[in-house]
Amino acid sequence: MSEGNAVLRMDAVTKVYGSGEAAVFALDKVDFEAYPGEVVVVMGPSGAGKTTFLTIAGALLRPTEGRVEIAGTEITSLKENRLPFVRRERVGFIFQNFNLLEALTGLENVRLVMMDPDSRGSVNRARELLEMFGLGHRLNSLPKNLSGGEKQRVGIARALANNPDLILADEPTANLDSKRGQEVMQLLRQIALELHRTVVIVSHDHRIREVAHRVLWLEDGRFRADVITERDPVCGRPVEVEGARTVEYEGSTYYFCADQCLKLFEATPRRFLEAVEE
Amino acid sequence: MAGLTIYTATVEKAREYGILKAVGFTNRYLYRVVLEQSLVTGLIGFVVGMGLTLVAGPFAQNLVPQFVILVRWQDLLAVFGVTLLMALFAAYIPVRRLAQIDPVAVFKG
Repeated sequence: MSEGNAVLRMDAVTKVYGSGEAAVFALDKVDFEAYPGEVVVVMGPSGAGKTTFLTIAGALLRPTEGRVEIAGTEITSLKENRLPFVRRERVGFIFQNFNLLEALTGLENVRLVMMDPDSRGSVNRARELLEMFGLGHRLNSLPKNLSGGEKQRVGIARALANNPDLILADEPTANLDSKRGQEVMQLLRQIALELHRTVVIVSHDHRIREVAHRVLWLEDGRFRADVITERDPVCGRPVEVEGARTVEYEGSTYYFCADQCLKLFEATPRRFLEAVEE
Repeated sequence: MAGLTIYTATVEKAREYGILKAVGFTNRYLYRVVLEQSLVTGLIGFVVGMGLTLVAGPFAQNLVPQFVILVRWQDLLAVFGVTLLMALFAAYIPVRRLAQIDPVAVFKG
């Protein structure tokens, strides 16, 4: 999918932590583009550089080298004090642990990030967004009184509050059960297709591939094109098939991210297979 | 006391300030929030303190006649001025703490 200009473009982005012999390349000359109406999922093992990728894409972290452009604005050349404005106007963040302000209601959490939070227009837009996500009856509820799925939907409404071009989601289904996770995944796809936003998701959740237009595998700071992955039936994480620990069970091969998962599976395989089937 | 109250409140809310930074609030905006909190705390202290002085003063003077209490408007003004200065000073350390909050941290669980 390459409809129109890229909303997010990264050219040869490198991020190095530390220096000298202790230098770690979290990202190594990464090129990336994402377009309006597209859902791109970035997967990879822990420590692959996914969070670094997301925070650089969201103008929260500066790359060591390379160029990042959001909706036509090159953010790598902007002064530090301009970056918050880019984040607020152009980017919507969705977090793994929701990150709502506990003292504010759902409606207030959405309104807060708007440019003019006290205007009637902002209140109406916040209400419309929450109603669109089925939270019309929860406008005045505090986060502590909302379920995980409801909190995430408030988080999604907040991410859309300023009509951003780019939505960045960090493990959006990680703290949700399978049903709520599915709902959130469908919402993200709906946002991309119906609202024509660019949605970039960083996730370990294998199920999220279902809503993606593209799935990229990030490992050792680089995108790898030729990676075949399977879902670890124990922890649900994607596992690179090549070199993974495997078990043959009832004529099928299962892949595991770690010995611990493999041992748990071997002890009670039916338990995990039933969970996968659900 | 005001400084400690504001500092504690800032440290306790560090994650929430981090969230606000992540979603695009500027340091300047957050400094203003802390400064306003400090000023409000100072003003509440001033009003409560002056109220107690005005109420308790005559009783204290009756109890110990040698203890003279005279509250002039100039004194009120001076105390008010000092309160404002203290509130500004009390906000200084929390503001420095705010500047150090890294918004990237909110992505880490």
